[in-house]
Amino acid sequence: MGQLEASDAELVRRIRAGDGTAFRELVDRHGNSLFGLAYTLLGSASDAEDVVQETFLGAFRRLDAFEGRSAVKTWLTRILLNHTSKLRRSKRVRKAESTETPAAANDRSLRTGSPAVAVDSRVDVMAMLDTLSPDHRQVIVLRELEGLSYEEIAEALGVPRGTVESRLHRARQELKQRYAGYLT
Amino acid sequence: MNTCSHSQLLSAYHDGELSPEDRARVEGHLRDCPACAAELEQFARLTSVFAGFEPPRLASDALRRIGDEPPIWIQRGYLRFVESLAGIAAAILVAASGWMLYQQRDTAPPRDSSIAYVVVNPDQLDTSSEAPSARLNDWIAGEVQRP
Repeated sequence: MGQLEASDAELVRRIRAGDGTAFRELVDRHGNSLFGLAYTLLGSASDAEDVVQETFLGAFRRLDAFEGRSAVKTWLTRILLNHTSKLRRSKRVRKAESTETPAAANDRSLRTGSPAVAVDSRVDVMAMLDTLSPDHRQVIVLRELEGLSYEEIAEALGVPRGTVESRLHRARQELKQRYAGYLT
Repeated sequence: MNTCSHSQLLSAYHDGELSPEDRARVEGHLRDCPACAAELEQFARLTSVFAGFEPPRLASDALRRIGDEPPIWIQRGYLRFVESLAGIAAAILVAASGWMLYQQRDTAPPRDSSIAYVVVNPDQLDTSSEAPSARLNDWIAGEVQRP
């Protein structure tokens, strides 16, 4: 009979005690889902990888600040969202300062390297997300792709539940109007 | 564009986030409002588009790299130690700067151009002005004339 998998809270406790294997286990458990979230928010695999690394390093440094009031995954998500916002802001500043022609915004290699059906779906969704403002993109991704509840989204973003509800509604209205032909 | 007043609730209804009372109210409304029913249908299609999406996964070596135990220098104990050292060094630097400024203030030459000052600090003698020499002459004259 195999060992029961340690809970996230138990992994955090072990990391605090200096257990490096617990840190690796936490990364293995949540790394890919966090990467997927970062990718859908940023549209770039390399940026997403950087953000995921920053997220886990940031979490490692701030272990003492984690009080266990929220789930570990929610806590990691909140750290990741902060890092994606910072990265987006810095890219916006760099883009405004640059006099060169901007490079392609997204990582094309991921779009062309997969089977046809998956590529179409991925291109459509990423194209849709690219048309949204950062605030709308966040709530759509957290709800439609991550499946978080309104309360969980509110906690992750640090906004009231009502704000989540209205942002989601406006984001869907936008997508519905832009892609009316695609959705009928 | 759906201008029905109930449309604001459709997103939360679609996500199952309404209270039982509000859910019942919307369901009753949907029977009589084709615009809201059509909008709800589009929300459902949007969700199915997202449901078919699979984001890329991290390459296994990237995941391994992230999961490698953080470098020794950012081990939490060492980080705290380094942070403490940095704080102490900064405090010493501030204190040393303040002490040096204070010392400079104490040893700064007085602006008094008295003869005593000239005698004690001959290298500070201001030869561009006649004042110190005139005063020295007066002093010498005074000494010579003393009985």
